[in-house]
Amino acid sequence: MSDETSTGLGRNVGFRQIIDGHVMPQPAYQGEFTEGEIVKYYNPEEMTLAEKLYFPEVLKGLMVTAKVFWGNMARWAVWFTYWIRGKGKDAPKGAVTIYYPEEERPDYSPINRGKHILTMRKSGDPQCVACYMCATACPAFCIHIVAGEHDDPNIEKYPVRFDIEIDKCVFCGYCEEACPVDAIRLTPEPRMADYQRERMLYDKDYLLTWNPTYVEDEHVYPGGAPRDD
Amino acid sequence: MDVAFIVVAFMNLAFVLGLLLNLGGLLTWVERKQGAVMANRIGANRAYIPLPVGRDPNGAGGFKWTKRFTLMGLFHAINDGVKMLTKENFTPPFVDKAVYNLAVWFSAVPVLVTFAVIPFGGPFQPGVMMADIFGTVGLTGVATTLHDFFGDGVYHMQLANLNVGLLFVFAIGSTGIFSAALGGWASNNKFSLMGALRSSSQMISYEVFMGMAILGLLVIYGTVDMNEIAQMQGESWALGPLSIPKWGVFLQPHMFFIFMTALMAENKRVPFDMPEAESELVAGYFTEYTGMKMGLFMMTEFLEVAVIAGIVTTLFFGAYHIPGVVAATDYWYWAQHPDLMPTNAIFGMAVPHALIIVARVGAFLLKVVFFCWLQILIRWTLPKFRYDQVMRLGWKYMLPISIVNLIVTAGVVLALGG
Repeated sequence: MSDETSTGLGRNVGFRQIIDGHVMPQPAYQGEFTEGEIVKYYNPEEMTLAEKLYFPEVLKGLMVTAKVFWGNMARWAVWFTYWIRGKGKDAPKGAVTIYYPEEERPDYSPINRGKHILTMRKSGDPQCVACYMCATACPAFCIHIVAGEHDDPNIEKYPVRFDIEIDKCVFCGYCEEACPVDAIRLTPEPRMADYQRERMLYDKDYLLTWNPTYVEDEHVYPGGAPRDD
Repeated sequence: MDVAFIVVAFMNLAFVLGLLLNLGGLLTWVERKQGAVMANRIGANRAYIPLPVGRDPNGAGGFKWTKRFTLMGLFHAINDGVKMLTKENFTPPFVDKAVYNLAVWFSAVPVLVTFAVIPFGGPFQPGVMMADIFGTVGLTGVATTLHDFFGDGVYHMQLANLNVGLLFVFAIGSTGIFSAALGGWASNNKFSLMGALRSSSQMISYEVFMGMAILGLLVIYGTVDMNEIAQMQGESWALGPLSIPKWGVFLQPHMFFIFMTALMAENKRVPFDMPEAESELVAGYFTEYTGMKMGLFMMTEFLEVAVIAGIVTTLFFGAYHIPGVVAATDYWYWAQHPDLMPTNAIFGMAVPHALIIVARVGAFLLKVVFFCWLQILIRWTLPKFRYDQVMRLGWKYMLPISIVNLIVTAGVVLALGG
């Protein structure tokens, strides 16, 4: 054991030391290893005879992949017994990947940042007051607003045009955070791919498709309420 | 040479060509799917044939062509063929046209020809076999006619019963070098030329070890005739209650690894894909080929997988033999037991001749499919070698081991009195 061991990730901990003394540098997360403990380096630089012979290691590797293969084939066989009864959709498969777009991942977060929407007032007008906060905050410069004067003197401005180039968007959510009136939101909806670039320019009419429904009995809007003002 | 002989020859030809070409096509699918399953993926499944079932998703009445019949992605093999055939067949203006086109043939033909000497079912009596099959179904008229036509003659399930068998395999197999060398040279492209250089040295090197590795086994067998090699593996040692078949893999297990390695290096697939080396040489020696010409180079690799499986099965894994199964046509077996009557038997139980032959062809196919699977497993498991590593592995390890093995085997065989 050398004194350098206890210096943490300081100046004395270098490559040579790790190789020579099999000393692991003190990790940044203290407590996992006791101070100055000598840890055997987990990737010894000397190969054993079996490793030098190469063929045993090759066979070991082949065993690993073959095990994965037959394990997955067994899982597919079980899946097939479900599929033949018409229950293939819910049965566990022999793969971790899914058939997009026929299948959808069930584990999308409800706060996933996906497709944008513009919220509405109860009158159907956009909530947006065309303050340009979102366009300014946008790091991808994908929001383009043309402001116009609103008839209602309390509202002052409204967006004549509100365009989002969704193919440029990086889904950082800054627009959502910058908005002072909760006019722009990112829904969890992940599907925005398209074959035509023209269709990836979302205009105001498209963004205003969000229409919250009011459940009378429970007095709530599932998915969020429009603002009163 | 009678008519029945020609008919049997054409039956064999149809079987071998059907087996090889279908297996070659199927292997493109197996390669994708097996690689996917090994990596927890689903694999190619997008090529489909639309079927007129299923409702219109938009709610309109009537049936639409919405059902996608994918058949586990099997149509990708057909799709590949259609794509290759319908693509522009472009010949670059700077190539040597004659040699450029010749190289394609040197690629595909030797591989197909090699399979000619591989026995895939042992000797059989087509007359008796047909009579068995059609007699069981109830068509006694057909059974009698076929039995009269073929008689009781014994034929080999092998395209060419050559007494130079294995030498023919090596001789024809080595002409495969021409495809890479000529193709790379005629393409007049630096990547192609480098691929050709690499493939020439790699294939010539590994041909040496391939021959050397198998010599020990040939000393034991005492023949190069593939048919006789296959017949000898039908015997077995009795070790107490155990009966170990005299398969090549039990005689020389270490040489199986070396022979298999050499064959895989000959095939130029990962981990021995120096000549193609997508990451370095674009596509190596066939960089300048388009359409079906390139398709033939690709197809050759898959055909070669099947042929390698066939060679390994014949030399090391008892060819078509199933332990405990003996046919009335196994003349070498009955010559050793002159006191027994030749019968078709599975573990001493008498069964129809047709059943034995079908089981043997099935066993051969099963072994071939297993070794195809193994090669694809290796292809998706091992990382690519560096060029000097390939050469070092061959010349410094495999060649000495093969030579030592040959000397030791020859000494032991000599000591045991042949």
